Amino acid sequence: MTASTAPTGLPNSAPRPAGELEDLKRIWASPKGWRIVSDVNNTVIGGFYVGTALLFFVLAGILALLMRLQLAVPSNTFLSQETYNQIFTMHGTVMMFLFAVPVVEAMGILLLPQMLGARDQPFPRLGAFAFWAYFVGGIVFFGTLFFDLAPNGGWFMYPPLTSTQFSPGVGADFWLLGIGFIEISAIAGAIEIIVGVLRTRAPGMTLDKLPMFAWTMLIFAGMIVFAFPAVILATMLLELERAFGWPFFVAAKGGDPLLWQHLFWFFGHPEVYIIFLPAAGMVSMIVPAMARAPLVAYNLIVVALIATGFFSFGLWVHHMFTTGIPALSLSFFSAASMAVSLPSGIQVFAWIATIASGRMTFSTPSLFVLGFLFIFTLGGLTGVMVAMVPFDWQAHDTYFVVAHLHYVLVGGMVFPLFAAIYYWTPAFSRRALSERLGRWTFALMFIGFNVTFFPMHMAGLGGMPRRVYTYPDLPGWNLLNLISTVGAFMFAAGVMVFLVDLVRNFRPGQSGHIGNLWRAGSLEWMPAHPFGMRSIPVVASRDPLWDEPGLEKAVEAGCWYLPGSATGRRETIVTSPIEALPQYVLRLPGPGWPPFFAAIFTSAFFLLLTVKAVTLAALCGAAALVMFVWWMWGADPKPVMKVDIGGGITLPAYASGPLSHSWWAMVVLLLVTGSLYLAYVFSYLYLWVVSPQVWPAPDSLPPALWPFASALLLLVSGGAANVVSRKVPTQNGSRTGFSAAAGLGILALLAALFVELWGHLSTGLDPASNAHAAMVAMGLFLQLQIITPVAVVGCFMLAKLFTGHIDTRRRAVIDNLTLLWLYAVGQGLAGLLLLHGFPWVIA
Amino acid sequence: MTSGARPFGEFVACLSGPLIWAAHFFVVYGAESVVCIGATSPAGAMRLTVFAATAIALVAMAAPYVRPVRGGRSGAPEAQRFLSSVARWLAILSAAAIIAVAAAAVRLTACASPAG
Repeated sequence: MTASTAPTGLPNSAPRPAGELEDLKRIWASPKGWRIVSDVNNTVIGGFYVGTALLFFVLAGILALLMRLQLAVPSNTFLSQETYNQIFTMHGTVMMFLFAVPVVEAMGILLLPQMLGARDQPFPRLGAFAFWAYFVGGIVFFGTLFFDLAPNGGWFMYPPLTSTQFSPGVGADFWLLGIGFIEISAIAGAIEIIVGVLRTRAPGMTLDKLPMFAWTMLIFAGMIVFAFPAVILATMLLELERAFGWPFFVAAKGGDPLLWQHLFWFFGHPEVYIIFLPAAGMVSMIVPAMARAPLVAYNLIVVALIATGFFSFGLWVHHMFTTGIPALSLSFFSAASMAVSLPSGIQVFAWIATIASGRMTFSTPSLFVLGFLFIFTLGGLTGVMVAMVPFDWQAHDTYFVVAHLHYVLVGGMVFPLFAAIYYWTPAFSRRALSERLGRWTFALMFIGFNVTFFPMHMAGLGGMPRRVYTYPDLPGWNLLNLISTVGAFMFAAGVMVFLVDLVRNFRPGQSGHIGNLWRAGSLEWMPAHPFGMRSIPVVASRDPLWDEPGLEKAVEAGCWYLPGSATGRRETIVTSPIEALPQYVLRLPGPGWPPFFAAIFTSAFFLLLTVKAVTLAALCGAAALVMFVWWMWGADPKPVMKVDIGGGITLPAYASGPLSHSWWAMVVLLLVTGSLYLAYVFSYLYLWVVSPQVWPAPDSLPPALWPFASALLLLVSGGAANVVSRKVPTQNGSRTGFSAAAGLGILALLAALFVELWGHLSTGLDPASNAHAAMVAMGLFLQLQIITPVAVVGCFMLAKLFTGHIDTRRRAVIDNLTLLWLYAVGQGLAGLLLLHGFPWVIA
Repeated sequence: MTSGARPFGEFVACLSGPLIWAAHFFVVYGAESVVCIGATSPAGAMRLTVFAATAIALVAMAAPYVRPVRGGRSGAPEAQRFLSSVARWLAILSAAAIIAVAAAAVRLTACASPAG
């Protein structure tokens, strides 16, 4: 046996004890055969995720080819109007919701842990749930095309076209419930990414050393948190209008179809940047590796990313320039639309400067990056054009806008994604993708793209409207459309060559990867295992593999932190969010069935509701709840207070409160629910501005006794939450007072809602009568939506308490519950102020 | 090896520029909706609102220059410099965006139809 010694400055000695690596491999082994679907490891789930998203890209691309065939010649009858409308709706919806956002999340789940020096994502089962929910929901949603049940109102789903009057079938319901559900999956992924980037970085990886892809994923996820709730609320409003006649969008009853456009585009415009920013992050990783030079202006790029993320929320009305909004308001949005081009420009110049400062290697990833720069810059220029109100009035609803949005989205996202796939494949495959086929792929896609979409600028300026299934025989349009169709097939041929390359060369596996083919400097190019790196280093620079030549060897030899499993389970190090100081060892779950079945049953619940199979849907909902409880029961393991990670450092293997990763996830979740509620407050005030005549006089409101009683009950409930948080019983202490406070507090929360409901019913509230009544009912519905999880988690907490799984130290469930609970109290009070106070103010 | 930093406060301080931009944007956009309904002199009320909101926002933009973002207490000077630099550049970009938005109110009248 060789004597082990710690190399200078490293925390652990080498060689490592016999069996340590084998233990690590055993603990992180994936299930074999069909049981792989129960795996939760990020490399497996990330691979499934990317593969599924690419499948949807191909499917939506085939729909695009069908559309181009129909539009190749005037007055064509290849597709009927109804079929065309379904295909064009599904093309946009699938590309945006089932490809663009998921593939970016997928790349994050796949790459981030290794890039950050973590062993896995902080919530592996949440990642697995998000994937399976997306997979099942997406496949069923796409399948509606084959049964003539697909939505046909466009991916933007504007009412009144999508109201029951003009869209009586279930197609619109499939969109509203199906896409609403898939958005929830996207939010789950966003929570995972935010907590992962902020809390599971390697020690020493302060925010100024964060890989640029991680920065973009952090901002991407933050934008999802604030943008997606608006469209979730919109889908809820429209579905309630369709199902129960609550007239949110019916002008005759005080509603307004433009409310949908406000909510949809408050999501829809940031969505463009939600897709673009991670792609920009991929480019910021690829360019330095290809140029062999550090990224120029790192700080300014971070500034640009954050500014873009914020400014993109001030652009939504530029999709509504022709809706009659006052000129001054249009100018505010026009100015913001131009302001966002500043940070975008900073990034483009930083990439060009990086290329200029090094020696660029013209491999396939480089070609796709250059293609991205060309196409995206053109899309950005036409974006500045349509940001000008007078120009937009000319180009609105023409093919010019189709050309612009494809230059931005395909140029800004698809080209960087293909660059990323060619770039990162060697990290996961035993063979790299072919350079020869890659160049063919690029050439066909680049030329095909421009041949398809450049003529659309001219067709649009020539007056050709978009969203039409055919067009008359006009000399200015015919040739341009034919050229676009030829280009689309050329682009598709490029994708086909790529698929052939994948089949021929992509050989994923858990070992034997090609590795750092490009001699890049970031951590994901360390030798990878199912558990990430063998040991977790202290990161001292932005490009650790360039700046520390011996790092790879020392990490692989186990000389850094956590070289084995310190607790006998899967685990990773949790660090502080800014300084990346080690705080505790997070024990991670292994493979299991609850996330898989929870996703199946939750999907079934939503999809069965769509076809009005209410009983079956309720059964699936109950089954999903059982799966969630099974999942969560083991999520809060017994505290272990000292774990040795090497170098004499011991950390606890448990945390609760603000130190805990789960507490951070709850805070992010509350930001989501808060955003949803703010979107509701906006909708309430917006409809008042549009239709003040349906808002009641103060004497028509419920008597003041009711809201005061409701507020009192809410305050009592908040007090009880405070008691629950402070008076946690010890292992052998009395549980009576604690349980009584929890039970009565949650009952008070429910009672407050009941009293509020009773007060409104006493005045004869009928949500179908007008927009104000519908808004009141919606407010109560949103309060019920937040109280329900408080009640369920409260019961769960009491069950854990009485089975001995909670005490003064093991209290993560309590801390997270009280956060949610206090938020519910605050939302309830805000609702009372809005629904009772606002009518008094305007009177 | 645990951190004593208060990360939420530091993040908010770092993002003060774009947060102020967002507040200014929603105030001026919301103000036009309100003054067009109730004000006797909407054009004057709107100009006054935009002027006041812009002045307050631009003064508030000085926050990251007056109190640099700390970025924790572990004494990692590079991280601290980085966060301070990000906060200051964000304030500059946000101030430019605020001025661009406010400039519209100098030339255009509130509540006017876009068709003239």
